[in-house]
Amino acid sequence: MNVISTRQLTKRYGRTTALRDLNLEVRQGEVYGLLGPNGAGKTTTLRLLIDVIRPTRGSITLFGEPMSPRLRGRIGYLPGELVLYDRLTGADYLRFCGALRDHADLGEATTLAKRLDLDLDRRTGELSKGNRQKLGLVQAFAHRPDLVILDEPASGLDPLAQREFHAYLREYIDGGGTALFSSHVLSEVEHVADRVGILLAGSLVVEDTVASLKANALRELTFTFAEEVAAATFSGIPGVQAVQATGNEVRCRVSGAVGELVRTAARFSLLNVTSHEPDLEDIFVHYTEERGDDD
Amino acid sequence: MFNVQQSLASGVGYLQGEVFGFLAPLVLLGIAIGQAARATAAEEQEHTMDLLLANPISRTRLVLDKAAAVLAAVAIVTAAFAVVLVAGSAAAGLGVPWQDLLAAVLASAVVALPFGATALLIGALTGRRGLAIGVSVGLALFSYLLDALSALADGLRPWRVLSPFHHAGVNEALTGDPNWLGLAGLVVLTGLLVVGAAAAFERREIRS
Repeated sequence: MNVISTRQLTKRYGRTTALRDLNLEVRQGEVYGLLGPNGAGKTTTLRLLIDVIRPTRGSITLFGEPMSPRLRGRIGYLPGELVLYDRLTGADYLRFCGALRDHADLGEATTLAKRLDLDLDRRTGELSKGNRQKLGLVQAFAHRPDLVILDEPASGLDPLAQREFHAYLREYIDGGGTALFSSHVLSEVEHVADRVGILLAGSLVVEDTVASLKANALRELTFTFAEEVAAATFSGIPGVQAVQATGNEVRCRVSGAVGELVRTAARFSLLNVTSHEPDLEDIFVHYTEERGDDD
Repeated sequence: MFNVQQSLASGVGYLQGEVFGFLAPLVLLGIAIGQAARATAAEEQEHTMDLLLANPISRTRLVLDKAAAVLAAVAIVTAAFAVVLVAGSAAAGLGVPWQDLLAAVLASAVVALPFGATALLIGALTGRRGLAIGVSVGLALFSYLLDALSALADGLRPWRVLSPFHHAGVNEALTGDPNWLGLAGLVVLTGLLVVGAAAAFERREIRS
């Protein structure tokens, strides 16, 4: 069953289209990562889903029905711009949320707070950005929701807390939960997401598993030879582009399998190969260029 | 002040001029407008609204709860005013019956309500706290002056029905002639404005 389903979801602000014809489906029991650079429409998407802004066009169903106050009780939400009530302590804030959600039991919240090493007795105004983010995560999971919608959940977390959160998220999924989160950090998505959608300028340009996204992305390879090798040697190999030769070094970008490229290089006296893992920007660039070609 | 109908030397005159002509409207309007303008607009401007609305409560319910909180704040201050005035008037021997004092305090509180509800409505429509305060304070000032000046200028008299202060009849209440119908009208007006605020907030696009 689809926990989240959108049809032609579109949001315009005046002449600016923040989101265009988004058809998003998030299945029960999966972690879906929404990737994209700033301003691509990630936050707009999540805020439309949570119903704080309304679509210009298109429809949203959650658990097969349109959003309602009752349904919000089954959802946990972490906003991108997290602001808490400064004068409340973490525990006060969780009790306040618990009252609104009719879920007074703070057991789950206390467990997660402990795992993230968050002190719930301090006023939120005194917390560091990272600790506030932890409290934001704790409140999102406090009422044991069936779905969590998280806008940049790892933002501000130290690596240790990030790892703990990712472990917790996996356990949450194994316990029957579903998660949609946004990020602009590929490594985060890589660790936790089952599927990834990339948003660029308001459009979903690709939707795939992380592994196949990376396989298709452009990687930069640098070969160091004991002799000078002409750039022309490598151009014409499928998937290889932007070949540059400087002295004994040849740099190029490649997408897909690297077999033929490496075999070609091995015909010369090859000293070293370095490969740069594609970062998100490369993947973005790749799809932006692809989209440019289509136009 | 304009509303002084009796000399300041008399008890009623003193209360009309100093308390009900100045202090009470200032404090009660301040609380009603200030709190109501905060209700949804401040949460929106301070970015706490997204999380609040992610909870399983309807937006209408949220606006009604916020309105109830404003009403409670006004009620507490009104009660404090009443206690202080009744005790003070007795101690100073102002010679005003306590029933009249209570009616005048109540009228002062009720006249603040539609202005608070206006602030709530503007906050719900625009998400702007400053605008909600500015427009409501402006309307309150205009209404107050219209009512006060119409006692002095005959040309203004037909227009005074537009002023909630005219219908509240605080000074009349102080002299034993409260305008219950007028006060009921102001309560109904407040209710309509709150319903309008809830309807506006249901449609509102919350700013990120």
